[in-house]
Amino acid sequence: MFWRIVGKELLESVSTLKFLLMAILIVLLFSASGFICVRGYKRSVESYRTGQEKYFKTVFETDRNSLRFAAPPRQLSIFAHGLEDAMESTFFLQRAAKFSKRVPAESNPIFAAIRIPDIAYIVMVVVSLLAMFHTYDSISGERERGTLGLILSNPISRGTFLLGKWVGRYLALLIPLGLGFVIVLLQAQMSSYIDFKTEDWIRIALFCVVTFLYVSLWCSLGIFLSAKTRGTNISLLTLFIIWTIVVITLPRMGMPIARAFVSAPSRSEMEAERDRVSREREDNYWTRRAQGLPGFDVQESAVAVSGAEQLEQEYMRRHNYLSAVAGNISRISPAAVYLYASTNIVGTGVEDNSKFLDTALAYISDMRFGMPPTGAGRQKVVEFFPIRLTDNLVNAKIDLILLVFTNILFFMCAYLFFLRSDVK
Amino acid sequence: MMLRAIIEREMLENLKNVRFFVAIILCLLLVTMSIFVMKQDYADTNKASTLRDDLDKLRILSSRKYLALGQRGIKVQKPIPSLTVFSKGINSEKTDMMWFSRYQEPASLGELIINPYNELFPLLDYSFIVGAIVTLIVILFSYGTICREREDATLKLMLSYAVPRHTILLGKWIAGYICILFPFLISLLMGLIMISISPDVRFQGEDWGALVAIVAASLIYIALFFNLGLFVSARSRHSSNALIVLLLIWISVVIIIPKIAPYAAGYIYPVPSDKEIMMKHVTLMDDVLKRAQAEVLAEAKRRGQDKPNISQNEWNTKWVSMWNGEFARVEEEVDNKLDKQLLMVKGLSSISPYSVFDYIMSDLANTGTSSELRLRRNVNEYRPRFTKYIDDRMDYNVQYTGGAVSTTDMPRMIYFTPRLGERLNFVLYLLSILVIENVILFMAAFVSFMRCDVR
Repeated sequence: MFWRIVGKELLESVSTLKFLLMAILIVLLFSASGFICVRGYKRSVESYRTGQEKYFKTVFETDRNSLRFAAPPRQLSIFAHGLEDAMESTFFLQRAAKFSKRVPAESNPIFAAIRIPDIAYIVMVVVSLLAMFHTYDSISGERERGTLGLILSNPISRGTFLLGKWVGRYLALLIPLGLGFVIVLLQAQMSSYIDFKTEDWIRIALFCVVTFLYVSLWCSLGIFLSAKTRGTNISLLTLFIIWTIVVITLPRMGMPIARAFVSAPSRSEMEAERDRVSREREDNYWTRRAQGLPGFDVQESAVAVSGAEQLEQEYMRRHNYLSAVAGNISRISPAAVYLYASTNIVGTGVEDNSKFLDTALAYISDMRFGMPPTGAGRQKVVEFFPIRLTDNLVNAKIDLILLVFTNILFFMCAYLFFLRSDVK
Repeated sequence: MMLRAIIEREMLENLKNVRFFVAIILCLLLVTMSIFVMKQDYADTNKASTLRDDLDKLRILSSRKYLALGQRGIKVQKPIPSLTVFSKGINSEKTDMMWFSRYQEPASLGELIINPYNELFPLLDYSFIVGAIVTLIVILFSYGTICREREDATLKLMLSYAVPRHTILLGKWIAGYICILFPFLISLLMGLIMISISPDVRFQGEDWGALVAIVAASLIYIALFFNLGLFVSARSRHSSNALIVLLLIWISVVIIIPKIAPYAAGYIYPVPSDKEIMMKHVTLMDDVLKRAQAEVLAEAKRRGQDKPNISQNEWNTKWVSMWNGEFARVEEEVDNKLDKQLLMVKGLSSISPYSVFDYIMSDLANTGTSSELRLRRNVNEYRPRFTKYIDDRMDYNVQYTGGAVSTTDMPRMIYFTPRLGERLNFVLYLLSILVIENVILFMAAFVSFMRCDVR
């Protein structure tokens, strides 16, 4: 009986015009996103190579103030771009400023404001909305048409009926999603710049699993509201308001709320303090010279530098804390949870960025006093090892647990309300 | 008289409906919250920017050598417009500050992303709230305007009276629009009160003018979505169909086109990437040095000297002036290409009224692409002056006593914020696109309603 309901739901869903439109939209969006992201990846690989080449050939030999530290672009960023852009940086080692990211001026500024529409974005925003359209009338529609009473007059438990509905609708949605994934993978395989290794395939599989979990969450929510509300229009309106709050508003409220409780100095404030200390030291130096005393020795200079470093570390520690609090607040929203989980899995997440940052800063600290004299020596230090898959999974575990938990919760709610609801 | 009766009836119906309260709550919550959050953000960024400015002035004043100043370079930034509260545009530390030195080309200075949260989830500004969320509310108000009456069979009843169809449509339009404007304007007013009592944000005379233009553009934009809803409602038989069609249009217009169109434009009209331009600079520099050397040698030969007799300073002045000319030429070339690409991006994404609205907001608030280009042009104009200033004093043999050299006469870059008239001029064609789309959609709704079957 269960499979019969699944089959009926699947057939019924697939044969509607609404589903056809949705499927076309999903496939088209996945293809467009794949095209844009694969092309973007190609450009960033070229840019990375040229940057390294230029750095090692010219700047490296002549300009000791310039340090480049960049992680090679990640292939899987075509699925979830995350903090990919943040991880290609050029550092400047200056007397007054230890590090800063230098973005060359000649880029079209308009792209600075547009987040690349990667698969994770399409799923997070558009597919969630479509999943909602797909399920909002699953129970209330049957009730309106009067078929619910008819079905339930058969010897079938409400639980089996609900599960059958859920599975049927969900499977129907997986068809265009799966097709979309296949198209993106084909596009990636056709590009000469992309070559997936075994670990990448495991990551892609995990990314698909997380995506399917997120989509199933919206299906469960749709069925839940459909069971709870009487009319299809009301369930659609309610779902829409929930979607606006969950996908658009809540994830972006993490930082403003966190800032109300956690204070972190701006970069300028930190720099002002560092400059003040440095100026005092310089004045002190010239006063000593004027009195005929010797200047600072190496040890004193090292103490001063470590003092400045401490200021910077404190500044970063506070911001890390702020960011962590903001992130945790935004985890109320399943959309944010999905984004954190998917970026962690493909290696463009928050943890990856902080590892990159730590490595970069350690490298710059090393270079501050003892730059190896030869290019080869320096090149060796520059390597960046991305986080391993197992560690990435450990980092994503809270988000994965949250996704599974909210899935179960919504389905349980749907079940509970459906059990108590009137069939008429 | 009949029109008034229709308006009153429609308004009463809307006011009784639960969606009106949902609209009021959502608008109040989101618009005021976004203005509050952006106001705080503006206060923080402005404070940081002022501090940065002071810091740089102090750094310049405490320079002990011109050479060091030339090497270390200077940072220039554009003031943060107070209307950032309404539209963040492309304003960020990546775009509103530039750095260059005597030896390094101008570059935007971005900070390390130590706070990744902001990268993943940027702040919600007024422009986005009105552009995306308020339009959703408008759709909820308008999708059933005509087709629900048809479903309830009240349309037939109403048309059996001696009332022309256009009066009904106009009445519905006016009543619906007022019912949407009410929650929107109330929440906007709350936001403005919040701004005016806050000590952090100070609007100057022209800002108020721009603000009026921002509100006017918002009203036109909201009317556009209402007309769209009316049109779809007149064409659909069932209200649920109208809602689904409208939501699909909303997804395309607000989410898909603004994301995809710029990349499509970038593909159609590509510009060299940052690194390609950097490489071009490197080869150009080699070329300039070779040419300068050849010229110096030729000059020496002409004078019958074996070796060129030229001081370091003369040599520097020679190649630097050649390099500056070449650099300016390359920059202009790139700028032209970027301008063309930008035009293409704007043109393609203007298919979506959301993008048009977003461009209007950022241009009026002076946080759009034009402000960034203006900064780059200002910097390119200012850099030779700075270089000349340093070069003129480079040989000046300062007794190294530890005291700072005098930099009070150093030329400064002044960033001119465009006047209101200029900004309005800039958005005029974008506004006219919105107005034309409004007229077309209303006409389409009118024709559809005139021809529709009342059953």
